[in-house]
Amino acid sequence: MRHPSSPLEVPGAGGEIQALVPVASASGSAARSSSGGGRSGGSFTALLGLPTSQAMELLLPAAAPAFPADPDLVDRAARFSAFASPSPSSPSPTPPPPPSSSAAAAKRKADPANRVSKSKAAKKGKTAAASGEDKDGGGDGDDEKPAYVHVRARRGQATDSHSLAERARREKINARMELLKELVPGCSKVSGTVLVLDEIINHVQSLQRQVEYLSMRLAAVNPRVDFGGLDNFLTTEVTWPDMGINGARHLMQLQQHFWHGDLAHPLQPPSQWEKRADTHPPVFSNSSSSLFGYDLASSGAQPQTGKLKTEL
Amino acid sequence: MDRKRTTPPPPNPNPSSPALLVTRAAASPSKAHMLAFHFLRALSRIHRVTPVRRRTRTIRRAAYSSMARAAGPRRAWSRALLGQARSRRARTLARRAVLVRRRVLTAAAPSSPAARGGGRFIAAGGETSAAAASRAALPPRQAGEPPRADALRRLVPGGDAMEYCSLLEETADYLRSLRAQVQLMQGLVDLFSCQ
Repeated sequence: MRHPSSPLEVPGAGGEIQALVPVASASGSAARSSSGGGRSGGSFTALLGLPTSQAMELLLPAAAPAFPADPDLVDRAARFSAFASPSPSSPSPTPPPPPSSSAAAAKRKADPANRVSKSKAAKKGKTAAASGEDKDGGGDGDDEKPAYVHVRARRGQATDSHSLAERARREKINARMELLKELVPGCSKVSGTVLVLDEIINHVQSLQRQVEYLSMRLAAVNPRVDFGGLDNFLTTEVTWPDMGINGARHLMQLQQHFWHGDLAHPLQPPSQWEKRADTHPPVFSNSSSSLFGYDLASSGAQPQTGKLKTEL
Repeated sequence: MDRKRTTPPPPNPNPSSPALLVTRAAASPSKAHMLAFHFLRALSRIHRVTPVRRRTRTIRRAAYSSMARAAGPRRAWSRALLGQARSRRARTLARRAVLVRRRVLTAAAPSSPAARGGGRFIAAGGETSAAAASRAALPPRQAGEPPRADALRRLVPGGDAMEYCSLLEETADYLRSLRAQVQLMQGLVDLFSCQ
């Protein structure tokens, strides 16, 4: 009666459970309005009120071709309480992502139904679709924001909603720690959360100290460039007479550092994000070109920037 | 000098126009552009306006503000930074208003303790309300986070009101932004002291 337990079957079963939901909603009672309607959830609960075999019989004709004909498999899948959303190793023909958007919507709607049916259908475990804490799944290819994450519960681990939620949270935290370890240099060889945290804190502190130091140096720098010329592009003021070849080389270096490819017009975002009326961005866009040798394309500024180029 | 600048930079994919480094206006500038834009503008203003003594502090604040502006309002730390800057500005303005009012009152009427007290209360009230708004957030539930997390909270702006999970995410973004800012400032310093 028991199927040979293979790890491949579980994603299959999970996929089938996934398939079950849109199928159930699709093949609901005649009164169902749309696949995403709330009424489909009602029909789903009605379906799950029946014992599993009858539900299977109902669904089987309209089911997806790979629907498991074994109710025990469904029970086992329910017990396993977790299925990974798009797991690439899943061999079963899980519904392709195009219906996944409707599937996600149906899942969300059917989730309260699932919660209700949990106690009825699978006493041992709860399907993870209705797990207590749902959040975004990493690596999901969905365009719309999925409200639930699917956590795989390994064999022998508790499957109640609390530990599921905790496990999901722990995995999220670990993912973020990995991100941070990549960002902080020299952190990948350190193992253990506390040391990594210490490294991160040290790094942030050192960066902040660097900002302080550099701001001191910038304050002390004697601007051979008249910074006032940056605000209004009277370019005659802006002369860099004593910027030697090194200066131009630094210009090139800087530019290769920061400006990837095309230098865009920084007009729109500042106006949206800045709440105060500062000086006109178009003015500055040309003046920043004076500093970095770029000519931001703005309409009325060609002659001035041309003059600027000749100066340097 | 002209020759150096006429060579188009390799990473520039744009079709070259007669004006060497002319680039087309893209729809959305990258974060580094925004950073440089805001910071340079602030720098020019500071060098023009601020007296020499207080420049370091102002430049540092301008650095953080430009970081926050470049990051956008979607990040909690950038919102916190800008809120701090705004409250500080409001506080100094209120303080200045109080001083002005005090001066006016002492010039006009010899003693108006109510007005002066009221002025002081206004400033204090403004400050504490702004500060209390930021401090009123409850400490989030910290299930299994290590004790070092509060040091991180102090470092990252707005870190007090975050859960541990989002704290890590914000730290990553803050770190990236900090690094970009440091690179920008280092480049500027090198530029201006290359002699």
